[in-house]
Amino acid sequence: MTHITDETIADVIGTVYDVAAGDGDWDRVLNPLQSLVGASVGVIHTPGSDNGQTRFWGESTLPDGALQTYADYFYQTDIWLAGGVQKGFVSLTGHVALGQALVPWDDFRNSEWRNDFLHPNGLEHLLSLTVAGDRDPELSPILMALYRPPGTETFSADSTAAMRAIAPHLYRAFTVQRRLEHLDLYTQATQSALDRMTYAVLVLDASGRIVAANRAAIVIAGAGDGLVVSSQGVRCLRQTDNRRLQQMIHGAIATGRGAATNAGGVMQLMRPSGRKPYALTVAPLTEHRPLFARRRTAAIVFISDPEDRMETPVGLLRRVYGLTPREAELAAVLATGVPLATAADHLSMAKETARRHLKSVFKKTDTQRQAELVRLLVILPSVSNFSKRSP
Amino acid sequence: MAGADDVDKLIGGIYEAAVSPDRWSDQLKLISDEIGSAGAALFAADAKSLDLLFVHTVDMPAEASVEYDAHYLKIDPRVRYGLENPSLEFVFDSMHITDREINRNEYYDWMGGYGWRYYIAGQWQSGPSELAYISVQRTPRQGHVTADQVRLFEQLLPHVRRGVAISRRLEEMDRCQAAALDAVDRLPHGVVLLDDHGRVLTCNRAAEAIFVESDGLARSVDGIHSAYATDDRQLQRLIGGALKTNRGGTIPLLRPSGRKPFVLTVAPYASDDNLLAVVRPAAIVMLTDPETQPETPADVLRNLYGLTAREAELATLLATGTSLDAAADQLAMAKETARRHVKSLFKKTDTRRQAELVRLLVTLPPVEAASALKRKSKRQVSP
Repeated sequence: MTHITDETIADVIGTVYDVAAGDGDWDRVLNPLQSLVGASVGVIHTPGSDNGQTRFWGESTLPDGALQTYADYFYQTDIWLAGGVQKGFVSLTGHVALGQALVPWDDFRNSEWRNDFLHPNGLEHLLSLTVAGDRDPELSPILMALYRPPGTETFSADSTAAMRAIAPHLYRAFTVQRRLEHLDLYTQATQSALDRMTYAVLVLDASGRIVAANRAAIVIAGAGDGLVVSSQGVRCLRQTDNRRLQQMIHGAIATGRGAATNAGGVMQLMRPSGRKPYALTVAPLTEHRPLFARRRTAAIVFISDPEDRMETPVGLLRRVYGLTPREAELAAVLATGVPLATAADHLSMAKETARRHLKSVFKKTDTQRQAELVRLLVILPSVSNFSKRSP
Repeated sequence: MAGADDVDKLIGGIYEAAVSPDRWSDQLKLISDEIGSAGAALFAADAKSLDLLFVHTVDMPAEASVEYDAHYLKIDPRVRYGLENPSLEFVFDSMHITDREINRNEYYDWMGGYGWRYYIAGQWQSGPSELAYISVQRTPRQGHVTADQVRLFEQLLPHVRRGVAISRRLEEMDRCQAAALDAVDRLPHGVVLLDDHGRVLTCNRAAEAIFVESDGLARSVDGIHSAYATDDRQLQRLIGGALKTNRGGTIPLLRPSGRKPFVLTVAPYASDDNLLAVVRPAAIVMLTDPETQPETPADVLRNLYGLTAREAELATLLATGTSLDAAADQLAMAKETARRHVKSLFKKTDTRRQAELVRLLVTLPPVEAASALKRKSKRQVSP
């Protein structure tokens, strides 16, 4: 066992934060901790509850299969855990306890826990820490356990003191990891909503470079139809359009910075393919004052492609409005903006039948005119696409 | 000199600043006091241009930072020495300059104007082509750093480096989240994130507006509800399905006002099981109000398609599905005039029929009015 000094503790503390901000591989913390307090095995876990199995955040030098047998069966025989729960230690964030404080020797000596789980795995003494109590509003409950093998001394007062010194750092480090997780989760969930939108969304930094793009933006970038989207930013092939676009982007960026009051703008972009021009809007992003960042988000660009034939899913129309299969097919074709006669031709439907179907569609969708129906059907698709694709 | 408890407190404080970055100045002050100094700075510069990227100071006049960025950083012999010896974790005067040289140096002369003469600084590469420093400035009376002070400084350095990296990472992710939320807030559709019990975690502005309208759809502590029992049963079944069996779906929801039903879609959102978070998004809900008026204001249409004021007004009405006659009536426009305007606006928008025009205008990207932007800037985005 190494001598416990403030420097060795400070080293472990450093590792604790490295892991939290890095890959979350808590095994890397257990190794130096074990050598600090002279433990042979270490585990960081969230005890199982009604709605879940034991979750292990880190484990070091336990024999193969021990975790599995614990999660499958032995957690029920874990009288140390039961003792910690009974005494309320699992609720006390930062509480350090030895095995003998959890369960009296007489109860421990002949227990199934000791004889069938601890001993076969070479474990005898426990030094436990409640990293996060089970009433923590932010974190799942987290316990750390360090073990020594049979035939050794119980953990020293120095060891418990070292654990107490490290405890607040472990807690803070787990909250750091949780915050990073949280930001990542919400950003991705939000991003996945944007990915299902029919228009392109681009987020630009203060120098006009692209920070984020949704799926539709990638499609438009790939089409290369008058618009060049690269890591350097967005520009138009046509010079006059490009001048206008860059002016709008710069105006929006300056507004975000508070240096102007131009709320961005809107413009059409001609396409060499001769298809209907893209419609593009630029708006400033409200700037939060960064403390450390080099790049800051400054503007947002939306682009819509009027020729993007979002298909109105027939199944959706049937479910939401109770249309018959033929009615739904007709409605989906009409949603593209063609006249009734063209739609009827397209579906090899008699004009009279088409007219009858349309009447029924109007009734079921509570609309009176084709323009109104188109409006309703065009508003729907982005949402329905949304349920079709899985995240 | 600092005792073990003091060092422990300093280290703890550094990590507190790491997670609440507005505390960096306070921590800098504590470190600077413990070492013994008359001002401290935490900053980073571009390794090539030597432009200042960020700077946090304590007990240093703001103009010192401005002058430093404008000129003195570029001629700073301390930075130069560090650049020549990148493997050094910290540097102080006597490593590279004598007192006699200090007396004749432009940079030290400038520092002297603020009452500073000696320093110790930690340096590290904080990103690609980016160097970060923490430096404390000392008066002639405080003199050169002592061996004990150097040792303390050295002990703190790895924690400062790590703390800054954590602050940055959090800030970076905050920024990504804020940008994504901002984008979602501008959508015409409602977007709601639900946790694994169906409770509302966040909603965008459009969703908020639908709930505020309270036209048959409400959010409560336990989730989203319809005012109609049958609809609500269906809704809960749909949400439950998304949460438990990973299958989403779409349903219409009736409104007491008699307006067209809301259309609600639920999609499951799978996230890693092994997470620390107690609450996490488990489903995404999209809400559409088919009666929302297109948000495209008439002046935007004028800009976009070169419409005249009257044409734009007419187009805005036609986009809602109103018939030409009804629109002309509403605008107190002669039918003949309306017909002439429509012809012109069809031409300008490259459409031939009202249905096509509706399609074009409804799919226009969201445009935000300046007033809405101001409102939004007050909103706080926090984890």
